[in-house]
Amino acid sequence: MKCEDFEALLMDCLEEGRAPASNAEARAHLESCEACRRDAAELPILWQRLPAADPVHSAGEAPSARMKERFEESLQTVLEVRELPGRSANKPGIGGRLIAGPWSRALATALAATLAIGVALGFFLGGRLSSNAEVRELRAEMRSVNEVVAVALMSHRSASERLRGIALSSSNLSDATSGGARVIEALLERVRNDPNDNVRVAAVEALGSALDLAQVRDGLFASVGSQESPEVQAALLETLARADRGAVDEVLASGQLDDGVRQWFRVVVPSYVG
Amino acid sequence: MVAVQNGDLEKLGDLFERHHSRIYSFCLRLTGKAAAAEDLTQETFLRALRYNRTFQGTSDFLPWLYRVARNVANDHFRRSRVPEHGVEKLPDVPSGERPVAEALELAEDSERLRAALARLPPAGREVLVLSRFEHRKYTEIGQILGCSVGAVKTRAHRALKQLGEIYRGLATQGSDRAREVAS
Repeated sequence: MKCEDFEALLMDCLEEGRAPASNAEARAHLESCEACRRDAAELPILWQRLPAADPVHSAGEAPSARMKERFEESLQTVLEVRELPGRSANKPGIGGRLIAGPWSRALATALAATLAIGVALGFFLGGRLSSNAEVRELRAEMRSVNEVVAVALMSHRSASERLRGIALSSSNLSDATSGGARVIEALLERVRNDPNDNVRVAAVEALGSALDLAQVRDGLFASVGSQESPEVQAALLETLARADRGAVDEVLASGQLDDGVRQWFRVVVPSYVG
Repeated sequence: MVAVQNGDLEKLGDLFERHHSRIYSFCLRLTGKAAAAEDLTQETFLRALRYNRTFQGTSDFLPWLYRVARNVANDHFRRSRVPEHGVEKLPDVPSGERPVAEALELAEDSERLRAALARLPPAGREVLVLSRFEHRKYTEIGQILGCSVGAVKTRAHRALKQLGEIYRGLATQGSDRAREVAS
């Protein structure tokens, strides 16, 4: 019996609660190997005493009630940001949650400005809004305010406010070619430099709806090399594969990605990118 | 989890309700800090949502969730650059000096063993935590860590030996301090 065989046997015995000395080959090995003899004497004692050193016994088993609330808030925000299926129709949308939730000063100011613009336009235009051009003009104004709010929230110091900003920005991305340049630049800035991985991932996913823009594709590809988080790397690959699978394969071959992400991508992504 | 994969993402709330205590305990055992364990637990479930496609419906859910939690904890350790408890330089102790068995007879051994466990590198700590505190079998630990059963045994053996060395160093430190106080 070699030392590695004895070590494996010893660990089996510890798991099963039996003594290695009951094995004849092990006994013969122990007679000739001092290191394994020492292991056989010491490791079972450590193994037995370990449960007394369980940190959970000293720190308390239960997490705080606040943890569950925080999770539910985060889950709701993530669902809204991603706009994936599974949201209940009777749950408030992002607008409702912004109104119901704690107001940041920037948000309150911006919403007040939106209301003021609406009232002012209504006053000056009176009944003349029947013209399509005027309706379009009013919508453009509203969209512009919406952009300001989204961009302002995206630079908020709170990560959850920045996530709300990203959620709000998604409505502007559909008109990215006409007026969403500020929003796109703010989202790319989040992808490049946000200290929170969840915010980076949310920004990547939001930009996924504007992959037809070269600015977005180039910006996302350029940021791949600077991402340390496997989660952000995975989100970037998943999104960029929809735009240019060949370029993603080059990134995969470049060796700048986490090994786990590379394996995950090869297994999972081809099944739904097509 | 299959419901989540099929698009009913709010079912993640049910999974959280059912498993968050277990994952919290696991994270607490890895980090030793309640606040960090709460953050990592929350992150584990959000990541489970993001990577839900990597779960294969034919396999057990819990080992998969442990695996996600373990990856979240590793990212946390990587970001903070040092293990959660930090690594204190211990005196070099000749392996023959003061056997662990003898040191473990002392009344304060549990506290010292806990301190030794906290100083163990995360890769060693996780295998001992899964086996001794989470009561996972080697085969299941292999699924969680993504390695063979043989590799699990090797890692557990190495971790246990290292734990003994750290424990012995702490016991020697304690004796030296006691001697200084006495003199």
